[in-house]
Amino acid sequence: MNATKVIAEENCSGCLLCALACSFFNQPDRVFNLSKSQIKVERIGGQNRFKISFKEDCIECGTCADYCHYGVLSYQALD
Amino acid sequence: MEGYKGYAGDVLYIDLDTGSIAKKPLGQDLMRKFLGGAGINAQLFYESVKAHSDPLSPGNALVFGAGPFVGTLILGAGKCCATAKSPVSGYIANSVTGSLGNLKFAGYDHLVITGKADKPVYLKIYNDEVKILDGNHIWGKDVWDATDELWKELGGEYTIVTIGPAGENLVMDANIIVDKYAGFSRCGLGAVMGSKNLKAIAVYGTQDIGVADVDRFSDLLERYNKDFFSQRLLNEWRVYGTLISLKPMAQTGLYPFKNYQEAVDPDEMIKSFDLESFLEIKGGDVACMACPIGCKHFIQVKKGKYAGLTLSVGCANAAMQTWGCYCGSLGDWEGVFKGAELCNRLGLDYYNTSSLISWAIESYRRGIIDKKDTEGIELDWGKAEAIQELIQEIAYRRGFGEILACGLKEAPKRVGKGSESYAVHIKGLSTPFDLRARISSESFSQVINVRGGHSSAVTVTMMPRSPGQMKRFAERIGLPPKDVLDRVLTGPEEFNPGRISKWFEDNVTVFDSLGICQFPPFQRVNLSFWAEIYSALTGIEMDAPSLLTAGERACNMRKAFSLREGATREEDFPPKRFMTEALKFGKEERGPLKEEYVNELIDDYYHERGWNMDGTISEEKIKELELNQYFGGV
Ligand code: SF4
Ligand code: SF4
Ligand code: SF4
Repeated sequence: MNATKVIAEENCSGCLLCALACSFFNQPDRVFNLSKSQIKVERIGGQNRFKISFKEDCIECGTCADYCHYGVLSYQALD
Repeated sequence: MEGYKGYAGDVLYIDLDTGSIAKKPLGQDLMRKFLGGAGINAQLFYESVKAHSDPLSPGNALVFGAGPFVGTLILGAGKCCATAKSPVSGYIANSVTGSLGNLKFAGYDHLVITGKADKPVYLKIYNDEVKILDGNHIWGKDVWDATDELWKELGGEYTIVTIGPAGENLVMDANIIVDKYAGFSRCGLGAVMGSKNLKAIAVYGTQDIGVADVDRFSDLLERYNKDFFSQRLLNEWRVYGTLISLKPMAQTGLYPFKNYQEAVDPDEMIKSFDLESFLEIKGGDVACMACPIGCKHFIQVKKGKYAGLTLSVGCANAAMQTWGCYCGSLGDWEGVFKGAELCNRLGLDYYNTSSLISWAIESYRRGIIDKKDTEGIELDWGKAEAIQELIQEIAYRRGFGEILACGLKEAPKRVGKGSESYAVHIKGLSTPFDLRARISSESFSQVINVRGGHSSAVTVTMMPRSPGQMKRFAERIGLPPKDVLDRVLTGPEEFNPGRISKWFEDNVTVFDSLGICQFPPFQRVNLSFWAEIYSALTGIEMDAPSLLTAGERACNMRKAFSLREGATREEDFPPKRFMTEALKFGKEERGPLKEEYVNELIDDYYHERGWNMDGTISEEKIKELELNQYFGGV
């Protein structure tokens, strides 16, 4: 089984592609809506730096990792 | 909204005079005619502002817009626009930034702010909950402190759009900053916001942005992504951002030095602004919404005088050009970013502010002004501390800053004594590109841009190209259209700067209207692709020519505003320095521009636009673009 993991949070650029992809591809409405995404990108330290977390209903599908081009997320085998 | 997807569907109108807050649906007619973003902004602005309104009066409108692509997964589609009557030029201002997508999620494509609050306020927009709130506690604070305060109050998920002390003090070159770094930088928009007693706008939302044809859209997205990531240089863009152009720009003479008295010697430039040392202080990438490149930087200065300084910088090239080259200081990355930090905090445009300061330094060195005028500040090239002091004086209108705060048109008039000759600007806006170094669409369009000295036609002509390259580029992106290629892609460099500017101004306006970044990785996409994905997203079928016509219509709409205000052809002209002095760079020298040639290019541009030779829009063009209703007063 695979899981979506945060591997290098410090690389996050805040682009939100992960969250946009999650809401569009995985949520039943097929819309763009950051609040419906299962991944949360939260600002830290009052800077353009971010913390990543997953919400409860994340299905570990890896779509967000496909859309992250900054090496923050990966979809890999559970160890 | 039923029917059209992609759009949020509503325009939010706020009148600070009366406190009225109203929401109106965005009509399909406007979508088809102006697309969104910069295009619809221009139309809403034109309708909201009476002729000859004072830009700093309640009668001016400050309009924000996020195009139909913003908030979707289309790579590079995070660009939002701000429009108002510019206090700098007296004509329409338009400025773009990549971090206001939350406006769409709150349910609005556009936000129109008119009037003036009787005391400092800020706007809170959360879906349908829109409030004009007391802003006394943040008034007087710099951009970062005010932003922190609002994040603390409302939560970090809010996008914070704010002005600094410069905007509050109605400094001509004040800007508006989003999330502490992304600027609506040029044209004095911060002063307009300040004149409304509006310190900040906080926006967040949880509304859907729908897609009309999910399968078609998904297929197109997949195709786009595949092509996109097969481009060369993407990693270099990521690492260096706009500094990717440092070497070719230096070799073309495109770094004006010491107030455009010369261009920086190319070897010197490349050696002093060493990219390896830049990477030592780069702490990470920062991106606009939905961008996989992230050409912006998180800077962390670790040693030296400014150790501990951290900030996000939108355009590192602009910071280097202005706080480095313009001010006669080469190689001091830390000093460059210190200048950038001050501007981000105080809310000032890098270009105009550094241009004003370099004009002051030149005037000082020429003996036109002295220590009495500057109230004790000794000015000289590369003296970072004096320069930083002046930046603050400008923002707070203190000492000599009171004069500089009047901007590049007015400050030299106040000083007089021939100093006017050394102020380099077009319609009050300083010019990032020196036309003597090279005439490209990027540099030439500064002359005819309705906003003033900023590039409005971004193509690939900034640096010399190999034979045949322009034709291949045109073929790839489907522009200029085939039937005009012979007259547009002609001449020794295979393009006519005047004629090509028309086509790429229209194209850039399409990008600004849809919400796509203008940078090269996005520019290489064929126009028909944008039309197709627009149709799939919105459900409104459009083809490439109709997109381009919408861009052209918006350009003409902006010109209509200028004409209503009394603009003349005489103002479409390069600064005196470019016309009378040669430009030295390295071992080369470029003569001053020839008046006849410049006029020829302006004629070509007007002709390509279908305008009359006095710069007015011809009857036929007005009819063709269905703009008749806007030309009663012209
Ligand atoms: S793994 Fe799938 S469901 Fe979970 S956040 Fe990523 S895209 Fe969403
Ligand atoms: S995790 Fe990746 S995709 Fe998501 S915001 Fe950060 S950089 Fe962008
Ligand atoms: S390339 Fe740079 S400016 Fe353009 S959208 Fe990406 S981050 Fe923003």
